[in-house]
Amino acid sequence: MNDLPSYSGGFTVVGGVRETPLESLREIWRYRPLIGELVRRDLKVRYKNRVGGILWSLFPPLMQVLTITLMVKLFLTQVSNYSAYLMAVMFLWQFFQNCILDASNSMIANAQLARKIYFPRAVLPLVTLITNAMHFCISLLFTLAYYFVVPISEPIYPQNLHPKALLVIPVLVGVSILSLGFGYLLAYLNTLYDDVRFLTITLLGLFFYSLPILYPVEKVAARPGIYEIYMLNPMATWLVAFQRALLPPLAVEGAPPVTMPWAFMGIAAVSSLAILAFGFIIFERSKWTMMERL
Amino acid sequence: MNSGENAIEVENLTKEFRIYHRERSVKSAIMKVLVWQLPRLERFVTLENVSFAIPKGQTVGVIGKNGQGKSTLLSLLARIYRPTSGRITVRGRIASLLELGAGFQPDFTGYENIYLNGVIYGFTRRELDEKLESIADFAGITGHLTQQIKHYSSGMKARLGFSIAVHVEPDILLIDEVLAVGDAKFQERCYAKIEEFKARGVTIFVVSHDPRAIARVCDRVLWISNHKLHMDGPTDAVLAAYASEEGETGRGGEGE
Repeated sequence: MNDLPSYSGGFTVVGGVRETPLESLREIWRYRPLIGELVRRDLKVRYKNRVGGILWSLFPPLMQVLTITLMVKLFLTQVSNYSAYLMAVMFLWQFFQNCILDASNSMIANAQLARKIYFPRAVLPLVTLITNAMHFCISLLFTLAYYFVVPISEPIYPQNLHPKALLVIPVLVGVSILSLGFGYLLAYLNTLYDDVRFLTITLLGLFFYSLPILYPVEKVAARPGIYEIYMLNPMATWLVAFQRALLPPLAVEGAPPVTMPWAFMGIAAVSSLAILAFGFIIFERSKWTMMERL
Repeated sequence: MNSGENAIEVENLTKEFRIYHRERSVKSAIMKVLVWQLPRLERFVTLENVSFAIPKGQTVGVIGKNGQGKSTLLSLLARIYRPTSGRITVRGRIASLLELGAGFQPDFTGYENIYLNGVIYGFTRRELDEKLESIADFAGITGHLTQQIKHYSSGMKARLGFSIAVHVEPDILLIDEVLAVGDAKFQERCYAKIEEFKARGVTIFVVSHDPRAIARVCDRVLWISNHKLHMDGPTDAVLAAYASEEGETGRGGEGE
């Protein structure tokens, strides 16, 4: 649509003609200084009082880790060092959840700006993803530090720290793609209906139970037919892969050990990309009508 | 005239809004499918088949009563909405001031909003560092830069918006009703800035329901009435026709 080199140089819009997704992507690329500016500002708000802000934002997932660990230890199967396994997936889950909630709210949160000035609307969910990914990196550092000190008698790290830990990078990319896809879809639905936010929170709460967070994935692997279907959920695969990259396989009584789920990771990569493509195309198709309903 | 000399070209522009009367919720959407109701959707045409071309450097006013499509036209030129049909071509950097203030993020400070807007208009942070003082100075908010915009008065927001828009060196400036806000002193500075822009060859597009503001700065006036381009011509002629029509219907254009 934009035939001039500078993105502010001029434009032609024709009624009823849509940009192709490729043109939209090019335009988003041209607007990367804007993405930087919005990310910078988001981080500033989030970590307003420096160290205090960072610690405070780690607090809710840590409380959940503590509560669930106590619950598992007291009432469920005895799994040694469960908190370490839980912490890895809990932070990844928080990243996924916050990405989806922030991205789905991004059009409404930036309505004041979007109603007055043109910029590619698709940068808004992308900005929330980048901010949350940076935040996740901080919680990942915290997790790694935790592994060096717990359990106190014989810490997990360094002897269990292998090069395969680098797999957290592709896993993080996979979860980002997946959550951005849902984020685009929900950002669109959020401008269409007023109750989408509540539905999203409810569905995320239910989705949580379909993931190997509260229970070790070995318990699922103990039931053959179900495990294969269970792992078709890309988020379940990403969580397992993330845990296996950082920690040794878990020994659970009466259940087979689960190693790095390579085949399922391939499926998860494909389905995550498909969800992103679907979400992005839906968002792009309706980016103009969204503005009329903000 | 060679089309390359036009800053703005609008051809057969039509804009239609859809108005939904139902509750906007997933619940009602599902109910609608279940009990098979037709959506109660109403189409509302705000602009119908509007065409005009504005040569570079011209100052054009748009006049008309409220709710006739003036602001929609400006939003279409600013690319907030997409036309239902027709074509809009804009050549050059366009800065817009749509209803009180530019695009502000209420939670951002004045300082952050200047950077945000500047970056959207294509400036780098370094270029903006140099302009910062001048922007704050023109708006008269130097002491309030670290305050969040939501704590600004409407006058401050309007002044800052105007100040940013004139500092991003636009080729085309869109102004909606902003000349009506702010104190007399600030208004005078705005008019002075507009005169300066006119001298520099900037194309200016002013929307107002106040014929005096239009008469003061514009070379040409578009009169939008009943969602159509009713009249297009030199300022004096269009404003005279507008005033006589206003007189006939017995509704003063100034009291709005």
